[in-house]
Amino acid sequence: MNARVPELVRIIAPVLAVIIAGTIVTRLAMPAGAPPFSDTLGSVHRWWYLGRASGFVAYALLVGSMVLGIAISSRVFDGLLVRPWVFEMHQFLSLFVLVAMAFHALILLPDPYAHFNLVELLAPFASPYRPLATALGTIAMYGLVAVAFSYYAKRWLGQAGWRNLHYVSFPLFAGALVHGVTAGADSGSTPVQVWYLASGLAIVFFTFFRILAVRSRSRPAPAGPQPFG
Amino acid sequence: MSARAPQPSGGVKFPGSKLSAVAFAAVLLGGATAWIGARDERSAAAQDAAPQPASAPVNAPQRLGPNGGYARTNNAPAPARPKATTRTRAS
Repeated sequence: MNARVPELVRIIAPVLAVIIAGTIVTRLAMPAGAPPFSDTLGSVHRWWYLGRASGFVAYALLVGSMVLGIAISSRVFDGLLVRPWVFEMHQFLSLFVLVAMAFHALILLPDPYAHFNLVELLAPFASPYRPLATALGTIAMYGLVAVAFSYYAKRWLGQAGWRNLHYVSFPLFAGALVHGVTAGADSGSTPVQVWYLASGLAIVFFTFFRILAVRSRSRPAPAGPQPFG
Repeated sequence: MSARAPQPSGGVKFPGSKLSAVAFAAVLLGGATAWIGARDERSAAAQDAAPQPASAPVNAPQRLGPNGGYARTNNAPAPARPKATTRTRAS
């Protein structure tokens, strides 16, 4: 019992920290004169609000998964984070982002204003609302499903197939970003634009870091001084 | 998303980190919903409070919120679809 208490504290403490910090940030970010949260939840547009908000959640999880995935091979976080944690969290976020993306799409189903049906939400180019922009998001979702589950199908894919499938995650991320920018109703607001810019640049930075890190590791070590005679 | 073979994974590790990620997602969902809803509900309330010309049609441009909306997009949902409210969705 006593040995379990520190373990429980170790698990619960970061969760509580995230909840408290998130609540404080939300409070601070609220626009002046904002109506109470109950107005938002009671609004007929609540599904639309949840759909937009869950898009940000899915995108944030995707960014986290991408950064950690790149960090596995680039070892950019070595000395800062232990590698098993990086791999485990990358794998977890890769699956969690799929749940968030499915939630993002399906939560719009009961919206009484947009009247989306299941086909419009899940089939590319079927949505009457910004068809190309929403199709990018749908295609990114299906592609990321394939990438996430490729780890479990590695036996059949082989190392090269698995690696090539993982490279597809970069254009899929770009598709998700363009989907957010072009389909998102909040893309006009400054905090959202800053977030998209910062996250996109972060992925570009870590990608180049990985390319350079792998290239420098594969370069042969310089030869030592040649003995005379 | 790296192209390096991952190390074999052994079940559920780092439960605190995973729960924190779930908590982060939940808090972000709640916070973003509150922020988006507050902005839209506030602008919609301001539109409702503003005097409207008697002949102004529903979803007239002057009733739109600051960040656009369905009614102003070129590919808005078909107008034949019934709306649940006469209030314009801000976006």
